Amino acid sequence: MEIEGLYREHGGAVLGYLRRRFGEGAEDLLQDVFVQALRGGGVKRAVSGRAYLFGIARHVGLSAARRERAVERLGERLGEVAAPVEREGGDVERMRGAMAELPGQVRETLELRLREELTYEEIAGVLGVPVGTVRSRLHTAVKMLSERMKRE
Amino acid sequence: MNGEMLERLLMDRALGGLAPEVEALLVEYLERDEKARGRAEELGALTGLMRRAMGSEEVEHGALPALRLGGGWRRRVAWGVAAGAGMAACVAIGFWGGRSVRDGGGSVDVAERVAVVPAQREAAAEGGGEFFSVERLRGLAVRNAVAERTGEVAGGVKVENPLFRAIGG
Repeated sequence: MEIEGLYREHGGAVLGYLRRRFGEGAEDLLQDVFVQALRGGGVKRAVSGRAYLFGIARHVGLSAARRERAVERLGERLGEVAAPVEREGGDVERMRGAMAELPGQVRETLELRLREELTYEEIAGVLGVPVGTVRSRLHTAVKMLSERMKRE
Repeated sequence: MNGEMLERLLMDRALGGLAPEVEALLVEYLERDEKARGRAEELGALTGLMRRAMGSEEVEHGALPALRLGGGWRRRVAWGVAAGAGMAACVAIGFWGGRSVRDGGGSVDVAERVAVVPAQREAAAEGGGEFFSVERLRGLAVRNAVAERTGEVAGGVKVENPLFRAIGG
């Protein structure tokens, strides 16, 4: 598939991910993602074009954040979740608070699964870890959130 | 079924990470196990709450900006291709030119060069050749002996060779 086709198909999802994860400058990062995808040429060999693009997006975003020396703020942004249009009930608020306290890697894995709807294999490709690690992190997240919600 | 394995399967199902055929088997199992069915519903509710907390339903990607791969990038690719092609052409021309000069450029044929060697050998045997003839070696040996006595180096080079002593140097 040509790069323009990939952009039409996955550009929106990648942009959403970049906005949520890295905040300002997501549009510029999006352009960098597709330039790198074109330059690297790995998209033709990738099992999932979507996961490949998410992997590049993550790398590009983290590199930009490092350049800006904004790693501390990135942690805060990771804790943020997209503000819903209307106020949710108390359980959702509590869950949001509980998610913000998850370890960074666990939270990132959970976001890629539930928000970006990547498969376990795709997440493994994006994060560069085995599928078993992805599964383990997701299970950890469920257990921790379940305990937290019961406790409160 | 092992309780721990069941819990893992139920979590994967709630997260939507179970293969369809495995999920079908699990659903069959859940129909017979009320307790496990209750746990599955609990986990389903939990992940539903997690999704809502993440606001996945509310997220809008917004208008997708136009893809700007940029003329600069395309120019760089074009230059890269052109430079590669130019370099390949230079190598090809050099190779072809070298071959044609070697094959037909008036150089000495191999057969001709080989014929020189026996002629040199004959000259050396007669003592009249210039290529390490007996006279030449003797001259070198004499100059070497003089150099040893006077402390000078003949011709800037001092040659140590047992052959000189055999010749009489």
